[in-house]
Amino acid sequence: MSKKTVLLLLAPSVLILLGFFVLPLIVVLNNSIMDETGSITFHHYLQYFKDSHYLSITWKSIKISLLATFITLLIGYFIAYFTTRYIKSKKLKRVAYIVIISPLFTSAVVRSFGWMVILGNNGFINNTLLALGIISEPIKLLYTETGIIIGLVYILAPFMILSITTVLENIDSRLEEAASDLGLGPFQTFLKVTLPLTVPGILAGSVMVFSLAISAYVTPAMLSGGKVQLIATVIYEQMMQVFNYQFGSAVAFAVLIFSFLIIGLNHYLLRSDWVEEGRR
Amino acid sequence: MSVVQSIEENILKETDDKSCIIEFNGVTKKYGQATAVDNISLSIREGEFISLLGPSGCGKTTTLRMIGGFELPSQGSIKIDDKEAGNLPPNHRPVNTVFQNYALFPHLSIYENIAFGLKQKKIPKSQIKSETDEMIEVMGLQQHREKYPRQLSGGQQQRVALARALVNKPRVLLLDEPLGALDLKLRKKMQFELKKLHEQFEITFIYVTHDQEEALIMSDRIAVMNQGRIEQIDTPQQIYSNPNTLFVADFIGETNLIDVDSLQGLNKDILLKEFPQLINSEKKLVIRPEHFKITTKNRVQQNGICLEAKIKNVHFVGSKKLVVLESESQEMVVNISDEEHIGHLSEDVSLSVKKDLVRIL
Repeated sequence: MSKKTVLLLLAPSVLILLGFFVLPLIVVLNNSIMDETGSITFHHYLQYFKDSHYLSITWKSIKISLLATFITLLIGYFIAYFTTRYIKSKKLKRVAYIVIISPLFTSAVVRSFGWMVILGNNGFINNTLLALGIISEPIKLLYTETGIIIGLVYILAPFMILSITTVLENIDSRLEEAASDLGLGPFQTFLKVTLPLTVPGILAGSVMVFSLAISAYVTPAMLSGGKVQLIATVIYEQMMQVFNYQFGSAVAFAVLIFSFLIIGLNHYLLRSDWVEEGRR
Repeated sequence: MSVVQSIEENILKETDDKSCIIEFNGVTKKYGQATAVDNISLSIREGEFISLLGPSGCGKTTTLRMIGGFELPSQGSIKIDDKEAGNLPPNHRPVNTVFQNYALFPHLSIYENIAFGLKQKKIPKSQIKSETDEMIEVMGLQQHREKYPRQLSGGQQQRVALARALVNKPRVLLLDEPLGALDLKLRKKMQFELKKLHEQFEITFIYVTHDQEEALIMSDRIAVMNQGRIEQIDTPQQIYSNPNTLFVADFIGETNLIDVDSLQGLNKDILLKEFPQLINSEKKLVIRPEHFKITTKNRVQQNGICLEAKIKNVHFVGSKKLVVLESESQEMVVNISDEEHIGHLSEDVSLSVKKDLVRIL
């Protein structure tokens, strides 16, 4: 095939990519560096980075996203390990996968409402704990950072579970047998063989969950009830309520750059020798 | 022949004196309804090179995995070094395994792979390093020390797998078709290297293979397995020249199996005169291809059985010629040396064989 035909065949997808993904970004970028008169300015970025209020919101968002990612990793790894190693029958495994991805079939709004019902002062958790006599008055879960983290963990867990499951399933079971053959107990085998081999899945899942968590709007907005401000809610507020497109765009772009940095870091970590060698 | 036999008897006597390191007693392994290993008893002597040989699905790998501790027997007892080991996990057994596809740790360098087992033991770091380095040298892997398994060729990976197991100084080394993934030339080379390692380390090697030639070349003894049972355990020489069962005769080397009852005509009469016990019998005659002589018609050899046949095809296979003959709808294969002259295609010839080389199974 000549180079010309290749380019011609590639053209439609390149055009779609440019039109639907790159163009909106350019519009946002353009907004963020224009002032009212139409000349270029970095005023909005400076405003964002100099205001301690926004910086503390940013820090809080990062903290919540990191915590959510970490908890998702712990729970997700456990579930992924369980489904790949302990569920033997193929049918049950299929059922388990459907259960894992089923939350993705409904919208985030519905799922967040569910958590509002569970986490509320009169919700399932508080009522159960009260009835058991473990607590004497309801713990405040809804409209707090804890509530947001719980909601994010629930909504993002499937992404983590799926990326770890894929890697776990592809580990040759003979590697674990070899480890035990060489004198390692089950826990040592996990630490020295299974865990290091799942690092690519852990990193991929973590990057996905982190970038989805830091850009999540629906869940934090609903579970915070407006009482906890996060970066995504700030962007929404600036764009849709204050109509300060320039500042909103600047914040959005700052978050985007931050996400790129995280993905770049992941890429760097994944470049460890043995993973690279395996690709050759 | 007699010299070989006496040497063989000496070897047998010698190995009989050695103590037994692994003992199977009525071991059965079932997966659900299917029986993989069916009530086998087997004792393996310390220091011998024994092969478990059989077609795929005969239970040889399952047997090996039960010694390694990766499968637990459904019934029966397995003793390693006189201690009941049937239910011990792999990490508590004095054996190490070389896996079929090597199972090297892809995230560790060659050095770390080989040192893996030693790091588990409570020995000083300097000793780990010196022992690992020594093993790397024995295996000729010096220039690959810091590489990762995927950067090595199949033969090199094979050496790493051997080093990783042998560095732990196991009492028994289990090898699960370790040469299966290599090309013919490398396989031949590794066969001799394995044999050399066996002599060098003076430990028991248990070798699983479906390649009869490999088993014949390397083993002190061969256990031929079929459908979960051991058909025969013996020295390669005995297995080849004195097979106990039809299966062993057919599986080891090339064989002509002649069902006398299904023959008609002159050959049947000749054979039934020589072997009257074959009348209305299920048993078959077993004759190795190299034991036949092809002569022009009617030049009967003395004290031999002489059959009529017609040359159907001649194949040249390097050092020898493989002649396919037809004798009353029975196809027969005969090996002759390259220089030997035989007649033309579809020429009628005589096939003769000494009576004491014919076995009835």
